[in-house]
Amino acid sequence: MKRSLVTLTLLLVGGVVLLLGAAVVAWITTEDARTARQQAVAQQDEAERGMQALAGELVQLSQEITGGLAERHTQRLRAWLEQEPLELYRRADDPERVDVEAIINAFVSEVRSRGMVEDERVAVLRERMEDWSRARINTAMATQRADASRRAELAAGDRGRSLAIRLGLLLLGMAVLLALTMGVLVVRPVRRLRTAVDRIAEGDLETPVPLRSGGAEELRALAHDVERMRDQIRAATGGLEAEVQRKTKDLETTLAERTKALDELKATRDRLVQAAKMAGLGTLAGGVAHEFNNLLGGILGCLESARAESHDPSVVEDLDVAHKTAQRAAVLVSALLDVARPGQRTFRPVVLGEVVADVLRAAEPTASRRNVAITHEGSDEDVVVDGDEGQLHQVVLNLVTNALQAVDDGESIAVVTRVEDGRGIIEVRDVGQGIPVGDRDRIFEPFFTGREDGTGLGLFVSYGIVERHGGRIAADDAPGGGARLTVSLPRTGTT
Amino acid sequence: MRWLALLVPLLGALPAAYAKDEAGTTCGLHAFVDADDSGVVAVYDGLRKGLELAQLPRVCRVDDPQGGATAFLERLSAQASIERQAGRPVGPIFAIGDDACGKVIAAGSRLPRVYAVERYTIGRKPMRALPADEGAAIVYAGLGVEAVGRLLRDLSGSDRPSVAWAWDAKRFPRSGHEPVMRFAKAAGLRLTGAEKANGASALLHLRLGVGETLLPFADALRLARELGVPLISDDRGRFGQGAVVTLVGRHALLGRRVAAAALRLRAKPATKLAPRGVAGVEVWIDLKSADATGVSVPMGLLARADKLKRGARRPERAGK
Repeated sequence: MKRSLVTLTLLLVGGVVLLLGAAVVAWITTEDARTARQQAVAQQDEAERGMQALAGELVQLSQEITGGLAERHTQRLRAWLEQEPLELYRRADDPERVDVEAIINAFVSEVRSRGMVEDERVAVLRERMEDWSRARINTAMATQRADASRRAELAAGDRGRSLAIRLGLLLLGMAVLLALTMGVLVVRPVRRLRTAVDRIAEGDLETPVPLRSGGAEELRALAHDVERMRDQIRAATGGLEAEVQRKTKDLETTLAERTKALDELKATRDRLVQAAKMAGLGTLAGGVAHEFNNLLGGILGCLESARAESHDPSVVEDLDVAHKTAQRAAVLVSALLDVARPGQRTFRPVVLGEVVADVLRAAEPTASRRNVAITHEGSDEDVVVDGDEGQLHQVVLNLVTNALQAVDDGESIAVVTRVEDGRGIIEVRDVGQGIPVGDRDRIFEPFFTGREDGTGLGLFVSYGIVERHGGRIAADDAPGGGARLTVSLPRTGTT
Repeated sequence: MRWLALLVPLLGALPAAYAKDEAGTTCGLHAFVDADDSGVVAVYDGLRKGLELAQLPRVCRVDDPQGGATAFLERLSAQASIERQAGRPVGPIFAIGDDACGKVIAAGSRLPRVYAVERYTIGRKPMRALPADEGAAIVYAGLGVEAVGRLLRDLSGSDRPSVAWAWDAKRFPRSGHEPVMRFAKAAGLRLTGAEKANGASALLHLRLGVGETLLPFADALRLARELGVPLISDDRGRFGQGAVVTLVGRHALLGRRVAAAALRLRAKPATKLAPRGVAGVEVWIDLKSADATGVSVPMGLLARADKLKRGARRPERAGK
């Protein structure tokens, strides 16, 4: 049966009023009867006490009066006998003797006269006593009436207060019951509903809204509405979340791509900058080398001509020295010219492992002499790149030579060939001092060297060779210390 | 005996010296009486009764003797000489009341004489005494001050009641202060003048020998009615005239005592008798005056009263 909130409230209020009203009426009736009995008994006791006190007072007064009368009468007669001048009562026939009869007669006369006075006095006293007693009784009755009236007024006041208190208790009980009822029928369902709404607001769309029975029909309908709203929100939220996840994934992908592109762009830019710088340096060195090579050609020709014409051994010796020096200079110039003039690209597939093995065989004597262990870690497959085998051989040799110069005797050098990101990699690691960070961009510049006997052209030449092969060469710290020079070359078929 | 002949004309005048009583009877004894004092008159009545019991000559009041009290007493002295020579007892003369005593004392008579007065007493001693000499007997009715005090305490319900005195304070003689203060102290009273009577429990109209400074009774009664306090009087003649309480000495007994004293003086004329007092005071209560004044007299006091004058019945008697 469906019950509306108004109907429930009216039914409850009516029931509570009827129950508590009946209880209070019974209570008041019982209490009034008991109070009335107590008051009646108290009044009766009070009246009895008052009447007893009055009776006692009257008895005491009557005793005082009676005693006073008798005492005064006796005193008067005794005083008469004591104070009466008896010498006055003389016998006529014998003046020397007292006439007793005359005294008796006088005494009797005194008694009679006093008796008349006493009668009158007693009559007056009786009247006064009667008036006084009536007045006292009337006063006592008036006091009793006034006291009864006052008690009645007080009792009425007490009843009024008692009634007010009981009505107050009735209202309080009604209020408590109504509060409890409203709590069960309204507040608790509303609280449950609010908790459900809060969960929905916090995003919890999975917990269903409680639709328990109890409470008003309006609240149950409201709970159903909220549950329906939760379903709708959950449905709408599910599609939205999928869309958001897809969009987020797309954005993450795009961001990664763009980050990668940006990194590549930065690397490209660095390489371009480096390439431009190295190209400039190569052009400059090439120009100088070209001019210098021309001069060296003249110098060597003159030296060879002078040696051929000279017979002085000391001069010949000097000329030989000069010629050798000029030849070393020519070699340097030639190296510079190799960088500046790349020449015709005649690349062929080159197996990097084999190039490394040739270089290590060439370096073996030096390494053995210094007790330096050179290891080669090759990949399972051959790493083949398109290039000039001789130039690549020179590059590896420069790197291994630099490593041998960097390590002390008894230390080790590692050479690794592998494929990484589709490119052939040659990695040379030593355990030497390493390359300072500030020098890593300059070690590929011409004439930059950290050794006193170095020319500063080995890495410069290697850089130029690698660049001509479309590769890259970089320097960093080796894992565990030392320097690591890495050459990356495009594999065959990828350029 | 020649001188006796000379006395004949004088003796012829003697009957004139004998006053006559109301019935015109010739009397052998004479009494000076303060006729305006009802108490004195009562004493005189008691005297007459006592003389009758003692079978002595009748006594007559000498209210206004011819030639004055001194001349009268001189004539009595001459008569007494004759009586003595005849071997008959003489006198005595009676002076009842303060004024009468004053007259006799002033005359300086040597006749046997009995002074009778009313006095307030403290204990057994009168507050004011008469001169006692040879041939004189003093008898007084003693109004006990203590009894007056007890009466006022019962009347007011206070242990030390405050009472007003119906005397004109402005005219009050300094000589009267001492006996009044003695009276109040012995009675345990707090005194105020009539002009300060508000708050007093009673108004006293007592003759304490202060003469004319006592307010007239009518004025005292009016004042008591205005204040709503009982008027206390010691004048028995005013009983029933407004005083709620009247203090009355035993005048009749005093009169008989005076007769007894006369009997002794007649037997031994030259005897010097010690003053004798009649103790006790009667309390007379006028309930009518109490009702008129609006005063309620305690029932205990009513029970001890010697005489009651009936008042109007209280309205509670009817219909309740």
